[in-house]
Amino acid sequence: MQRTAHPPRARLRTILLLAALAATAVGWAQGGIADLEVTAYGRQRIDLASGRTVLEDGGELIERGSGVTLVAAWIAYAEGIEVTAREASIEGDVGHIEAPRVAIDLIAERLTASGGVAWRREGLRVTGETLWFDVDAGVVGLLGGVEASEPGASAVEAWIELAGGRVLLVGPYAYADGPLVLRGGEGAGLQLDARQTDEGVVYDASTAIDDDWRAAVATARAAWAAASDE
Amino acid sequence: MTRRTVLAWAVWLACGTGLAMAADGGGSEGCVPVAGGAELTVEGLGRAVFAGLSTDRVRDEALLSGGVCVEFSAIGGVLRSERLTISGLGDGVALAAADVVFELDAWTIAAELLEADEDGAVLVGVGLQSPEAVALAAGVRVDLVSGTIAARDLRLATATLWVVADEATLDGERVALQRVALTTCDCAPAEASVRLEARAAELDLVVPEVTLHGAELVVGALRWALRDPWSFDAANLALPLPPIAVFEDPDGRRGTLVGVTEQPVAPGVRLAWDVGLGDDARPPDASLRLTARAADADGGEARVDVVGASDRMRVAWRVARPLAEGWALAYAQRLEGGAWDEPVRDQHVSVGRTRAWPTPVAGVAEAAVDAEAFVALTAQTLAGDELVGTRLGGSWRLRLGGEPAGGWRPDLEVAAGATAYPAGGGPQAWVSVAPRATLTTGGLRLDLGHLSRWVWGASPFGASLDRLATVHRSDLGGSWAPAVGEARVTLAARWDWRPDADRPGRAVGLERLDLSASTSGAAWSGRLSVRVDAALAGVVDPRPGRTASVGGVVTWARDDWELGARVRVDPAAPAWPWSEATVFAAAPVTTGDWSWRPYLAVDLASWARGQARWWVGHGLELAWRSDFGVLDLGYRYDDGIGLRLDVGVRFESRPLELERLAATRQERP
Repeated sequence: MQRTAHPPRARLRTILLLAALAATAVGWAQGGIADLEVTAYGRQRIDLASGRTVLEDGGELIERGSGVTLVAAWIAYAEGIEVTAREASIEGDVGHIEAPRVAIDLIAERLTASGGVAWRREGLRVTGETLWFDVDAGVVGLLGGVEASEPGASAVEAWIELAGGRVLLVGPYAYADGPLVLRGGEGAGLQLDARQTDEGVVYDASTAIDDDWRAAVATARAAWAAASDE
Repeated sequence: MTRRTVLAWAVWLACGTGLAMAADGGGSEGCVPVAGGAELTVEGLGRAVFAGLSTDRVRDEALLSGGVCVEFSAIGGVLRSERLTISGLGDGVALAAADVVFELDAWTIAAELLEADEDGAVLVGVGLQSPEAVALAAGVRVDLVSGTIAARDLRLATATLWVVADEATLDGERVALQRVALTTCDCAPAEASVRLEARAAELDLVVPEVTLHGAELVVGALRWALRDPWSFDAANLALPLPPIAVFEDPDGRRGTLVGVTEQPVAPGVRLAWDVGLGDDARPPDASLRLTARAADADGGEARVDVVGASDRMRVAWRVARPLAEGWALAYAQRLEGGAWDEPVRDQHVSVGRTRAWPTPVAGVAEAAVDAEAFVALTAQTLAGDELVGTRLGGSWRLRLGGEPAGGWRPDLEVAAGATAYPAGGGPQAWVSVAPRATLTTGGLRLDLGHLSRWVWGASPFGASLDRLATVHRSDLGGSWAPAVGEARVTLAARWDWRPDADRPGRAVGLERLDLSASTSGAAWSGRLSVRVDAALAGVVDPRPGRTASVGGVVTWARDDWELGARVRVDPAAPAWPWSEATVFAAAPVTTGDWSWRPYLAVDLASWARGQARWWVGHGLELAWRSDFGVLDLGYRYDDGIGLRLDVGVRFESRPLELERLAATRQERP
């Protein structure tokens, strides 16, 4: 089945787009909205009272303009309100996210991937319990058991700035860079600044955290904590 | 960091870190993570803790800051600095820092600059501190694999020495120096009028001891080459004086003797000599005794014993060669001439075997058997007649070592032998049994022993050669050191079971019963020593030849002051029992750099006995204090202790101060 995008779906498309942006850490959140293509792999149930559509056998949501695709074993979405998915992967030309559960709040413009998230793109391969993305803050957080192979790191939390490319590891953390293995204790922070070189993306590390970046992370974290309480 | 700053660091270390290290036995503590800081592991180097870090991948370096502490894993050294740069993150890690403190073993090194890679660390503008020494060096290289410290242009001071060297290697408490000059003067070697210069030297800071190679003693413009190598104690330089003693001839023949008891003069060679002072009945004479012993790897042995005196001579030597399976062949010769009571000329050939083995018998750990057969051609002058003849004989000895039980360790020796005299006279045979037991428990030690020897027949030769007498005696010896203070009690007793020729029906009985007790401890701001001894055999069984006396010594000493009393009483004496009541004292007198310490001992009992010689002891000790140390020269004679000479140099300890070292000239003289 194929549907043509309708105006109420504009917010959903934006969220999907921003989710992909979070994954790729580039600012294509403000990109234009194009057609959204929905493909159901099987049964599709529509609740007329609530306007909630459930793709019970899974399906695909593709944003035509950017090529961002949400593929999941189970998808439910309410136009203009939310999208939830299970065993989902978000794929774009700049990144790939996999998570057992994905929830997109279309009103608050926030995405939560949980249950063990894997995220990869050039210069970045990371896993964690939860991925949190706040569109307004432009900050992605990975929380709980964060492990990264690119860059080699582990932390309790990792926060990624979409626009600036800054990363904050929250300790206890470990960060490996060549012959160095850096470890910080509980609550300690390490800032990584992504830098594009001829050999690819490299990171400069510093235990001195930029004030504005520290404040941005604090705001995003507070928002995540509030959302979690809900 | 300026040199002044290095010094300030080092002095601070000397006052703080260094003293703390001395208190806890030295060594550096590891790096303690900074609160809220981070920890960095550098492959191939070690671990670092710090407050802050930033890396720059374009410049390929990392900057650590804030209480940076690096532990070098291979050597256990610790580097401390406020900032440290790590470069070569991609390949070949290197460290660089300024104003560093490097702690390695007992050494704490403060330096202006440090550069290090996986192999070593180079430090520039260096001050070193250990509990035993301080030093300055133009540069130091620490081997990060072996932990040795190589320094150049080193100036080092210990409590007693000032040293300069072109190169030095510091390995823990040992310092190897190249092209070195040193002095005990409280000044730099270049300024010292008396110093030692050497091609190389090893300095043990803890013992402390110095060994010089290619050394010269320099006094002003004069130089004397010293033997190579030459070692000396860096705390005391005792001159090699022979231990001269004054004593009575044990044989009672030569009267009072002055000489040196047996001393080693070369490997395997011992020498003793004395001079008889003579008196109205005896002319002065001299005596010398030389013994030499050598052994080879095959078990062969040679021994020479020479006694030369004004009126007699003895040369005795013996060589032994091992044969197969424990057998040995020996030849010995003994030649005596002059005023010996029974001079001997003897040629002796023997073959013997020694065998030892563990035994399966309960309570017996080991058994050993010695057996020997001999033939000898002997001449001996007895009562003016010369007896010449051959001797054929053999002996056998079994030793059984018991298993220790309950603190006791028993052992037993059984021996037998027989000698035939073909030239005349009956054979002589003997059997002996000697059980012995030793108890050792806590501070108590007891030795119980017995010897019985039965003899059949008699040698026609004298007792100085091989004539044996029957023996039946028991010995008891003991010592007890209670766990209180420094007290010690000893006991020695002997009982002779043979019939007493002078007292029919009775045994010879108690031959010796000696008791002594001593202790010492702090008293009246000084040290008090007390000793009491008693020879009671003559009291329990008063007979001619039995000793009977009770005496004691009390000594109080503080600094160079010494006061004491010594008394001796003969309880068996028929009249005046005091054989000695001596008071003695030594007191220091200091004038400028000179110290005098006269000693006098006066026997108050001598007046009562009507003897003219009331002073029984005298002495004088002289000390001259110079920049190079304290020269000691003195003697003490006392009837109770004999003669003691003292010649040597003491090196007075000075505080370890880097600032004083820095004020000296760096160059070698």
